[in-house]
Amino acid sequence: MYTDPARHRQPTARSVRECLTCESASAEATIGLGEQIGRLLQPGDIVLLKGPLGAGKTTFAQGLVRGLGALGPVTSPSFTLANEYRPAPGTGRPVVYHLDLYRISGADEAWQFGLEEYLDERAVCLVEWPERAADAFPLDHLDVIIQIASLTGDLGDLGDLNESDLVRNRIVGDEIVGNRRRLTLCAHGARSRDRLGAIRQALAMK
Amino acid sequence: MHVLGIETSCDETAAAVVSDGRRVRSNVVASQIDVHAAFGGVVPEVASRQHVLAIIPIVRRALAEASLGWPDIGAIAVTAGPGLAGSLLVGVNAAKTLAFAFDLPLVAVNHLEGHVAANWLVEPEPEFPLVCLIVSGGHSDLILMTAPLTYRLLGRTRDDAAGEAFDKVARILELGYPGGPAIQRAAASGDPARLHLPRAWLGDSYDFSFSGLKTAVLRVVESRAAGEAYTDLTNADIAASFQEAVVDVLVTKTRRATEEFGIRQVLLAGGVAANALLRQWAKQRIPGPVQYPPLQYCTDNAAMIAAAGYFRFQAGERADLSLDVAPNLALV
Repeated sequence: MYTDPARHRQPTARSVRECLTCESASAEATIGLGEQIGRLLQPGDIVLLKGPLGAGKTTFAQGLVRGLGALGPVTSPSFTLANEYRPAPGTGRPVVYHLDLYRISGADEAWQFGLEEYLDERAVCLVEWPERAADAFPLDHLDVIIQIASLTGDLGDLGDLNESDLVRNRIVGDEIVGNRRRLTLCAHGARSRDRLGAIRQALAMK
Repeated sequence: MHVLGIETSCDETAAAVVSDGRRVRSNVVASQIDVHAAFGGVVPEVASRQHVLAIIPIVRRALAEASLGWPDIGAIAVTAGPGLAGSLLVGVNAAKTLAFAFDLPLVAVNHLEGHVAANWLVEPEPEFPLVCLIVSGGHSDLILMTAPLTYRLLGRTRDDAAGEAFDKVARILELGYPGGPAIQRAAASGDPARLHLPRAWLGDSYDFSFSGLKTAVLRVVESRAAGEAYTDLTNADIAASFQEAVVDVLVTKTRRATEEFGIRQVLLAGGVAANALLRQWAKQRIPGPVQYPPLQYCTDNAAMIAAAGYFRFQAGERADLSLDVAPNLALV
């Protein structure tokens, strides 16, 4: 037991974490996946979207918002930090907040900016660049980690994920083809574990 | 009538006095670019604090430079949105306080309408019907105007704004902040023909999409770093190719709108309208008059807010002291 290297990498807190991995071959597929997952989200859910510039955080958020039945257009919230999408009238679906914390530094600044107003039990809150204010969020939340299969096939530290099945992007002529992404959904806390269970079931049934 | 304009939607604290919506008496801008450059972008909390420090001295200077006193001012116009909530609050509260203290009418202005109105600060006066391309850090909107204060949205960005794409690509290429001028500077010594970047035409739609272009640049830079491809490309080449890709889409769609709607005039507005290649291609490739404001009225300023506020005031609009900020305010 003590010689298992994977075990050493995992802090004990992760034992309550539960993860699900999906792959997407295109921006359209990422939106479709988001839409499926968005249908299952409930008021009070907090979804933290993690990944580098160009990973497709806003693209995935567009799918989530569509699945949640809120009215777009869903664009990057980089300028105003927070976009608000209202549900279609009469649907009874929640308001969706879409935040981009790239320009925030630290939990204190996030709270001064008014983060708690968006962490509303009646709304669903999607957050890009949550790493900028890592300690600002409730313990119960759903992480979505988006990784790009890079040209060199290097995905950095993948933890317990399997690297071998990644398809490298190619460049043909001047065009870049291949937009393969790996999305890892991790539930922290009971509420998010329920949600992840429903997502796992829905994706498996498809 | 003299209108005092106040603008604090993002990283510029600005006040200006404009007569009858067209003649600029003063235009004062306290830029925070130096403060934010160290962070590679606007930091909201820092922006709010800077606005608080600057707003009163800036308003005083706008009046002094106009050689006017409070009794000469006929109304106060202020940006109510869109923008950063904390930043907008400083301007709106200052405007409400001054309106109350000096018993002046208050007019709420949409920041985007301000950018459009910047074209009325110069001669000749724009003629309707017209198409206005508003391109800035937060917006890429193609607007049809058949009459004053009448806006029809033809298209908008589906993901990143044009200015945001400039900022993000400047970050990928490590060219510094703000991205617009940095890309333009780098592109000047680059060869755009050495790299073809994809354009998101989106069929017949007038919408824009710049997120994929940003990602394409990222892939090129990554493959160059890995020594796999593009190893002979310089940052200048990539910047030049990126700039061309953005401008190509903006100009082509704007020209198509002028043909479809039989319009008399094209206006450029917003910070990206300061881009030299956009100005050049718009002039060369769009038939009919293309007009854009001088540089100081393209980037955020309060003269454009005073101008838009005057037109709203003439249309009978007034805000009261319950005026609140609207960070997600849309033009149409």
